[in-house]
Amino acid sequence: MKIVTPLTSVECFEPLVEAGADEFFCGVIPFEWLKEYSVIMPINRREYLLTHTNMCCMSSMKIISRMAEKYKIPVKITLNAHYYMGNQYDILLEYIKKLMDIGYDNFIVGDLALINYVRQKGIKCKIHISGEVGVVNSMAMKFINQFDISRYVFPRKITLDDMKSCITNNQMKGMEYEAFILNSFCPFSGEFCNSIHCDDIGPTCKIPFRVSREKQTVNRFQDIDSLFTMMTRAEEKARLYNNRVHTSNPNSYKFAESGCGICRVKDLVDIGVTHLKVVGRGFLLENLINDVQNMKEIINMAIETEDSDRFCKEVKDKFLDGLCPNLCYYPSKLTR
Amino acid sequence: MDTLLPTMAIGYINSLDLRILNINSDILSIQSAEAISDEFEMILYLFNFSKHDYEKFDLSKCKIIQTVKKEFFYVYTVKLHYDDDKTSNKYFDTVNCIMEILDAKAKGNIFERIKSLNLNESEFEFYPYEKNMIYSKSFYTQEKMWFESISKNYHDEVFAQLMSKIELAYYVNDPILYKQFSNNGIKESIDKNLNEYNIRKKGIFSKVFTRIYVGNEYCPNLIPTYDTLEKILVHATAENIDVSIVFPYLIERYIEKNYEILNELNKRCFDKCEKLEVVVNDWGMLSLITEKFSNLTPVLGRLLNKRKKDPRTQWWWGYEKYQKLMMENNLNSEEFVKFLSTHGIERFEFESFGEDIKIPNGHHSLNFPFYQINTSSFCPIYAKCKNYSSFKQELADGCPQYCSEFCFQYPEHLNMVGRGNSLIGFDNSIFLQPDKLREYIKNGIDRLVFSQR
Repeated sequence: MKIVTPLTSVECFEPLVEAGADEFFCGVIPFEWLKEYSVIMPINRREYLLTHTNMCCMSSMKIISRMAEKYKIPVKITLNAHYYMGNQYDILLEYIKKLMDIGYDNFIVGDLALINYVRQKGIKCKIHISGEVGVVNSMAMKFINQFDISRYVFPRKITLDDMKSCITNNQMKGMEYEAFILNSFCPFSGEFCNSIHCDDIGPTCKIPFRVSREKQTVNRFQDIDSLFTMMTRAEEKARLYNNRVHTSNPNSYKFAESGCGICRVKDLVDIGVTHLKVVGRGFLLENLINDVQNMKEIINMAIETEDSDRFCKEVKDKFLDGLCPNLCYYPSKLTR
Repeated sequence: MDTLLPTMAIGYINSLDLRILNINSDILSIQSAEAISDEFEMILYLFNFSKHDYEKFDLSKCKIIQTVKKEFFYVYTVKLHYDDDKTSNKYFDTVNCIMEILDAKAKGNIFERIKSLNLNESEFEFYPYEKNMIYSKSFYTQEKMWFESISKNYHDEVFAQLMSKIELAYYVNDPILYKQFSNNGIKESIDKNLNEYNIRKKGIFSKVFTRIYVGNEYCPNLIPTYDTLEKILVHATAENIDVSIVFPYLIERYIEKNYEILNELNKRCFDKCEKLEVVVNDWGMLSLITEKFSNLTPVLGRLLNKRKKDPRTQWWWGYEKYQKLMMENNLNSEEFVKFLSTHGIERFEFESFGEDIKIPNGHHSLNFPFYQINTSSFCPIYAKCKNYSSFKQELADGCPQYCSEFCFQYPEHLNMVGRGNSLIGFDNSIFLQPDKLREYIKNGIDRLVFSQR
């Protein structure tokens, strides 16, 4: 089981390899793209100008390519925007060719139109299907297999049973499967998210809301209704003291607090997932190092422990003080 | 010195691009993959906050004052040279602004700083966070207000003329509507529902509905059983109403259930020698239909027709400059449209969401007045009702349909609602701007799909 780790700068490469990263993913926004389209028409799903989440020059990519060569650590490029404009596919094709020329042949893609275009033009790069495509069933895999895919990244919200069934039913020899394991849990599904994610306004999932009733005379859930009335009053009082969308302190860090699936690593190994994704482009390096080191240890524990329930308890005790964070990737156990 | 954001400054020596690590007055620190010879010409691009664009500086006679050779790259400390005072002044102004803004970023008040520096050349307005505290008395009050804005703006004659050219469909998209339509028939149900908001036969609705969409694009727990579908189809046939069936994304464990519904629909079509449209929102669903069910015609659904749809785009820094780019998505790629056509898809479902769209060639549908902003496969309302936290999510197996009674109400100024597993926006521009509808029709929209919920 390999750990797929975010990379945002040349300086992060060696420390993260030392921590245990087995593979990197990174985004690059060439200057020509920045000038013409900025991050308003983004090249990947890190749509920020004022946060360090992407590389911006081929020089950096050449340097990273040398590092990848030395350490034998593959680096894949994220082109996982949901869509591009009609005239951008030629531009993207040129970027892909340039990146292939300097040693990159793995691309994580979120737009079927781009995959179709690349294959039509005879480009033989490896393609990973991003979680942003939202492949949650084996029929979709059978459809997309026509594009000669080497890996599926499951989106965040899929049960272990459904993941297992997809892997079993896909029946493609040598196929790799990647699953989210740490950080940045989202209340919505990335593949269906049409919200803006930008420097100045938080995403729609962070807009404050309150529970209200639809216009109905029936009240089948009276207990829940009463509780919501009390909760709404309490939440409104709390909001009076802080009416900003961004409330979290970006400098605070607690392992797995923003999204966690660590107790299911053994299940993921058993069902055939080959790679685990740590989310974190733009995160502080020291936090990512800690994340990768912990994940390395957790994977070793998963390999050494026979019993899934015992593994689950041991991991929670060791890394979470026995208390799960609320943002759980895989709340349902694998049916064994 | 802290490292500069890579988006703020990029250098070029001929075609070789360089990462600018730091700027300190007229001394730059540069990271390069290749060796650079001393005294060189460089083009430097620096981000200009007031223009939301890059300033270009042609710098000749740049001098290397220190070289550090690392294992994989070089770091050069370079002194810049300016050909004239004008260039020099502009350079320092731009650099000072970048440094000031990044300093503000470190302190957590970057956009207040941009605002206070009065940098914006345009009339750009920052997001009014104070309006996030203002809610309607209830969601019911807000919804009433939305539909009142429609009922007060008739444009009867203009719409009568426009609607003669296109088809009007009614979206039957939840269990309450399924029950109503299967018990009472199509026309009677539509009339009753439109009369509730006093919009029957007004404006766009002066046109008779000739089609219904039945199903739900967002939630697998809200699609009708085949028995319910059959009852609605019987009414539709009797009343001479066309039908499109709608499916959401396809979860692995529901493949068999959906297969059975599609199989029955396909058999029905075969028996009646007719075809039926099926709106697909999943590549797996498309694969099922094209492989097995030749009497079903796939239509590209809204979850597969992706674009930025957010009621806050008017406050998005930089948006005004690049707004026209947002008109397109991958359906404006000829190759992709051809690919879809080879899999039987000719019609695409679009939405009215307040911004202009470049409609590709062909005949397509426009959904209004509700548009999808976000959707979750693990329902937030289910999580809130079951676990008292919209973040404590799980797959809603055996869902009691809390969404029939509860919704998430959002700040009034955003005109959006959390309904079921989705965030839905409300846009009334089609009702208020007949010119907009005229433009859509001119560009290929031949069907309007109205959803009342």
